[in-house]
Amino acid sequence: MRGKTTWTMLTAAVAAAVSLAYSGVSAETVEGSVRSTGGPTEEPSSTKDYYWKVWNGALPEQPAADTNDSLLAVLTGKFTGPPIGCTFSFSGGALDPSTIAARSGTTVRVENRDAFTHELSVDGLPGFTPLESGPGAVRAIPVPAGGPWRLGDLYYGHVDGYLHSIRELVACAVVSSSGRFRFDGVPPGPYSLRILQGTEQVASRRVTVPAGKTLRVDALTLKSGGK
Amino acid sequence: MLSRLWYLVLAVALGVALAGAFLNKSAASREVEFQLDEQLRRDRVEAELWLRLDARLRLDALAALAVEPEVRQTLRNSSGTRGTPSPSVRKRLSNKLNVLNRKLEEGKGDLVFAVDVEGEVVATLDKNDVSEQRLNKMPLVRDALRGFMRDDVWVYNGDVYRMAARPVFDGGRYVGAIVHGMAVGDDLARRLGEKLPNATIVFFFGDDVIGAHTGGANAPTRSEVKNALAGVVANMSDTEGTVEIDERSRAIASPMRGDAGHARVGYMVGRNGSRAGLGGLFANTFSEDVASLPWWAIIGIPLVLLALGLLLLYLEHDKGVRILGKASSALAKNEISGLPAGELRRHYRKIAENINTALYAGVGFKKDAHKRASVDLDDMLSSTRGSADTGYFGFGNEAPTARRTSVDEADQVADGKTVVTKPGAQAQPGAGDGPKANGVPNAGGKTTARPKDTPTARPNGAPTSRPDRSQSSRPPAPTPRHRQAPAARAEKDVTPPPDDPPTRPRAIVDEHDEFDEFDDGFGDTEQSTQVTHIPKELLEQSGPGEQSEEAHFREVFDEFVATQRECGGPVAGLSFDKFVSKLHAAREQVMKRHNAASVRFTVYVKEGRAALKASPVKL
Repeated sequence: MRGKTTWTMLTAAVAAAVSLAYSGVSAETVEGSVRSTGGPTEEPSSTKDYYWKVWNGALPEQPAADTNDSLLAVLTGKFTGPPIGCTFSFSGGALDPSTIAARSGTTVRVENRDAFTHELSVDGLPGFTPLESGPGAVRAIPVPAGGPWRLGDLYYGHVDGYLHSIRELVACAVVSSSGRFRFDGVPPGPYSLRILQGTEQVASRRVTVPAGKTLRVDALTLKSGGK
Repeated sequence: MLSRLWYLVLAVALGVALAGAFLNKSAASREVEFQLDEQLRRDRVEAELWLRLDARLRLDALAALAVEPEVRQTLRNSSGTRGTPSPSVRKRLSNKLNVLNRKLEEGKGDLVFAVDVEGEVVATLDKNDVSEQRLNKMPLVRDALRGFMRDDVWVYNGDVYRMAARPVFDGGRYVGAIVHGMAVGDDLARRLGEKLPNATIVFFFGDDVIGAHTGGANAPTRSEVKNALAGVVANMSDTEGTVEIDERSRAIASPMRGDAGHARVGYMVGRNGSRAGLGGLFANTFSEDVASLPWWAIIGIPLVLLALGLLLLYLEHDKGVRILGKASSALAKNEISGLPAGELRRHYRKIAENINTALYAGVGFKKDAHKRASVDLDDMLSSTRGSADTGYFGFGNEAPTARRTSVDEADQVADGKTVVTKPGAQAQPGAGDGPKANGVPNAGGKTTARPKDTPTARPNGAPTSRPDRSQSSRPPAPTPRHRQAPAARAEKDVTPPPDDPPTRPRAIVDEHDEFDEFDDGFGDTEQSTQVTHIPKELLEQSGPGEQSEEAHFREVFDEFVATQRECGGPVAGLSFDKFVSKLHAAREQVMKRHNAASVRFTVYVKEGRAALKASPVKL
């Protein structure tokens, strides 16, 4: 009799959890920020890519902005629904962001939002052939387990990024130039918040998304040398 | 031998010269290839310098757009939190950009963007394009927004552009940037080609040629350079060396300096090298090179070798030919009896010796066999006169000046070869043992002693100078002088052998040969070689069935003695037995030589003396 009661309670709990997860009623927001230990990093520039790069002679040079284009915030955990906010694009002439992630065994989409053509390449990813993608076109990349894989553009040498394959990927968020990120529509529950940069995970934290309110995560300090 | 050595020297010299020429060709080819490589490297440096200058000129030209007040104001209003201007403002700015762009003339851009500080495109040359577009992550734009003037190369929607961008500032701050692009095509190739004469310029994007210029007839064609493109594109990472277009053309490639260099965008410079075939060996020869040549050796050594060769050629060949020519001429005129082998060397000596041997053996053309038969017979009979000094028919003790007819046994008959010893017409005692004239050897190593001024020498066919005394001194016996008797006369008596040549008279007697007296018998070629025919009546009388050999010999002996007496010659030592033995010997030789069944002897008068003539008779 006792076992039967336990079984019934467990079934009810699971049903409630599933109901919560898919009801849409409780899809919370997670906000956070990152804090870099160093100053903005100047991108190495090849001297072969131009003949002239000279100061204008009038106004002082503007410092390079820390755009955090290479950072990607992800949540991982027990969630079987499609990854939230994990769509990426070419914008402004490069990948935005340059670090992207996909759940293992699924397909990630990269949209060309530029007015000109890109040809995305994924080094070492079997079964993926670079193809020309005009404005508005989408390239779908099947992502197996493994990685990360280096991304590039056969037309533009400055395009550089990485693709991560994550088995329990729940949600993705870009990091703004000010270091802030935001996940929307995340079901309440325990997750791991990870900050990816290039091939590395430069920050992580375990978080529990509460139901009915926004989770604000304290600033994460990035490890240096993420690439 | 020496002349052959000279030919060897000549061949070696020629071989060395050819080897040198080909070595020179190989060296010249390498030099040409090296020079072509160096030229192409210089071309690439020059092309890079020109592209660098061109980029700078484009950057400077953009200043006219960047300082335009409307551009500055519009970008300022677009930057920051003010947001994207209205479409009408953007269109107005587009019109302004078009006007300013046209003023750039040669530097007119195919792409012009005005971007705000966020990298958002505010206006382009296409006034209808009001779509939202950002270029903030393009390195060119990013650097321009930071205050740098910079160039780049883009692949923009399938076309390649040389880009340039410079910042726009207004009110003491950066408000945006002007981005300018010129398509890469034939015009750019032409302008670059003007700086690189005789070179072909090709701009490529992957495997496609997007612009080309051929620098005249001396430059490789566009298609030739394009054929080498696949190899260049496949090895874009290694662009230091040159690539071969064909046997005499090479090209050098370089990626275009810019973002699009990663998209296999670049250019090639192709050139033809100078020909380095044997015909072009002297293409790069200068007049000072010619002047520095050691002409004394170049001219002198070949002249010395030429003189040496001619000398050796004369000594070994021309001299021998000249001697042989003169000797043969003299031989034809019967001035000499043989070729002077002793004056010749090596092969010519051998040739002369062989000819001499043949002359003595009577070898000749078959169609003249009847003449040769006479000669053979005469030689054979003459050989019996070797002991003429001892007296023919027993006249050995006769005075040296005595003219006599002698028939003697052959001095030597060895291996079927008759060796002749001919005493002089005025035989001197011991003349047979003395030195032989003209050096004509015989089989026994002896030479024939025969004075050169013998009176028997005369042209062929000339009437003999010998007085014909046959009419007055010859006995009534059948005369031997019927050399011109028709062959038909003999034809009635004999049947010719089946193998007789058809041109040969079907005569029972092949030739009518003289059995002459030795003092002049050799010299009288007409007498000794003329074909004669035995008269029918003589043949009938001398037939085997009608007259025995003994009787014939007796008759001949009697006639000979009588004729000798008539001529006033001595007959004291002449005996029938000895006469017959000589006839036997002569007959055997004649029969053997001519394969004759019988021999008939006749007597005639020759130069005032009795002489014998032997005629082979065939069945």
